[in-house]
Amino acid sequence: MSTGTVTEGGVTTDLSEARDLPWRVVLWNDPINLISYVTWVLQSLFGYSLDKATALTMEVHNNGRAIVSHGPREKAEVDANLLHERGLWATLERESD
Amino acid sequence: MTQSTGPLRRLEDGRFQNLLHEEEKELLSVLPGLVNEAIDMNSPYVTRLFPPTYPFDAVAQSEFERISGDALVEQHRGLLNGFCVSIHKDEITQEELVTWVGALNDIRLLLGTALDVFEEMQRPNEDDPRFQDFVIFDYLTWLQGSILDFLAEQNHSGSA
Repeated sequence: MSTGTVTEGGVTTDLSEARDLPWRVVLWNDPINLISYVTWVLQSLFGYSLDKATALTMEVHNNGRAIVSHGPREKAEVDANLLHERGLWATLERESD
Repeated sequence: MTQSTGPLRRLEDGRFQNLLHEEEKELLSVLPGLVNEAIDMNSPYVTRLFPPTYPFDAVAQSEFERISGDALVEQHRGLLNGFCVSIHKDEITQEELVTWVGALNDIRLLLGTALDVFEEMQRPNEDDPRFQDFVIFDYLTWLQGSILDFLAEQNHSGSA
């Protein structure tokens, strides 16, 4: 990932600080993954209880997406990659977005 | 295809007896190779195996792929190859069963994408050229769901 500073409109932003802003891991609905599979993956990867994993899975199923994890960018990227390894569709977005 | 009534039976030592019929094992050992070939060919049907992490930031996406892309390919290949090896075993460990679930999901993602599957979709009529592929897709769905039931029982029993 890029680091350093950028200047735009006279305002300089330290990208290393920007990277420390919390990021959200968004899990998206898809028509192929089974509800039971998504629930099991969330339990297995993140140690969520069955109740929490089920609630997040149903939020994805009913609303199209759910935030399943958040934290510093590096952690969020690791979490998204773990979800991709299990065939789930995850993206990252800043908490301020 | 003759479908087993249940794919597994739990053994006392924590492993699982593989109850799949030979015909099922034969089919299941072929499918991972098709996914690997699709990955090699960069087929559009494997897009769900490699979804974008930063869909609206091409620079960040490119950098993320540079760092983690190869490992993600190897992860998928590892699941598929592990499934191929253990599908013929008579007794399966829980670790192998977790590999099965992941590999079956990868196969379903490829096939489901190729068939343009959507939620609540009905299987087409027998005269539809896609009918046999839907039969296989439904079979894989049943098998994955059955294995997940076993893994869920294992979690409930606290022995996972």
